[in-house]
Amino acid sequence: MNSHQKIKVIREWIYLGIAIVTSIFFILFNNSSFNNTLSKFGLDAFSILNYDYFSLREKASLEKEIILIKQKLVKLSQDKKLFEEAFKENIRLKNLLSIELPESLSYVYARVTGKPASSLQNTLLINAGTEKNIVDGEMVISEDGFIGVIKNAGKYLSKVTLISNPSNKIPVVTEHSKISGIMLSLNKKTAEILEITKSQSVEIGEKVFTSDFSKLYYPNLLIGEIISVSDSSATINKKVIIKYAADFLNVKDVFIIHKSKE
Amino acid sequence: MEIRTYIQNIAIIILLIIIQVKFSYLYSISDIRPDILLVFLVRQSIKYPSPTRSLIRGFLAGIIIDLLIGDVIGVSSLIYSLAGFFTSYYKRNKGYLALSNKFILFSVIFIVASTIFYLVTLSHYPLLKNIFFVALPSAIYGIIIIWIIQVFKPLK
Repeated sequence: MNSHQKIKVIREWIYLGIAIVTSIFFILFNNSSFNNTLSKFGLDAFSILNYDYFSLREKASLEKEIILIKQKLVKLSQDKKLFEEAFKENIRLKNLLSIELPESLSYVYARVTGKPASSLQNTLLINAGTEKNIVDGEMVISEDGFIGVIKNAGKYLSKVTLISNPSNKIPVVTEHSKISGIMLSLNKKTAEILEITKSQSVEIGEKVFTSDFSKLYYPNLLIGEIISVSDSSATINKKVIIKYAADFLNVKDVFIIHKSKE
Repeated sequence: MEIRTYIQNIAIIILLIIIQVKFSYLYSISDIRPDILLVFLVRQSIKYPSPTRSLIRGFLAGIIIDLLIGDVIGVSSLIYSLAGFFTSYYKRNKGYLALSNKFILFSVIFIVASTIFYLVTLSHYPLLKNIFFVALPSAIYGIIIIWIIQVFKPLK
């Protein structure tokens, strides 16, 4: 190997080193604002390719109508849940708790336009972004219940982190017994509720909603249903397993809960 | 490589990214999806055995897919860079690759890439479950895909 070839090989290894260091830098600072900004640029660029160029005018008007109907349906079903909840509270406690969602919230429709290569990952792409006033941190629901939070909002596309991401710790409350706990995801279908002591009573079949403890999550969004309760753990807490109401793998239409300015 | 080949490569990478992001459910088996972008990058690295070019190609393709849909930004760019670089490096040093060499090369690349990818992105999963029930099936699916393509469009 002559000196020219040696230099070429050394240069190649230096390039490899740079690529590895850059990648590791990105991995280590995964949730940094720098990575989020880059991700938004990526989403904006991809939205050009993602645009539905072949849609006809009739299809567009029909789509608008469907979106309006779905928005109304989701709003009605959410309102129904709130009223049922308030009614039951009224009977039981004789003291009405005001748990309605603030009136300034609106639902922005979006379609799921991308999923990761592995179904085990916890990210979705949806076709709504800052163009529809979506911002990072807003909650995303499907007709079945709460599914995730906007991680990066690009202009036309946004990245959603699903609630099945094990790094999420979501404060929840049970439907009847009103027992609060912290939900920790186990997989794409089930999660465990922590911090429910053995002295507290929860029942299989009870629905589980987001609680009003956290400022990150709006209260009373359906998360799932209790499928197993066990006292067998060695700790003072029960082992409570819930099944998610939403099917993350097959979700197609979603709504972003958006805080209106007015 | 000619400019035409560069443009062709970029177009194919963009197309594969779109397929991987939008239509990967069509070819998933029991929620296991092969990395078709890695299949393309490995084949290109054998076809044009320049480690630097393969590295740049892999890094750019990886960072694009990470920024779009990745749970952890940087992991795909890392594995695609490594896969591209070492495949080209091996091919350049060996010259001709016999069938057995190709089999070993594809297997090692896919298993290592898949293991690194899932150990980083699914770090919360138990290690053995992650390797044997997620990383390995995905790698095997990728190896099968690259062999099917190899049968119909063989690379020397």
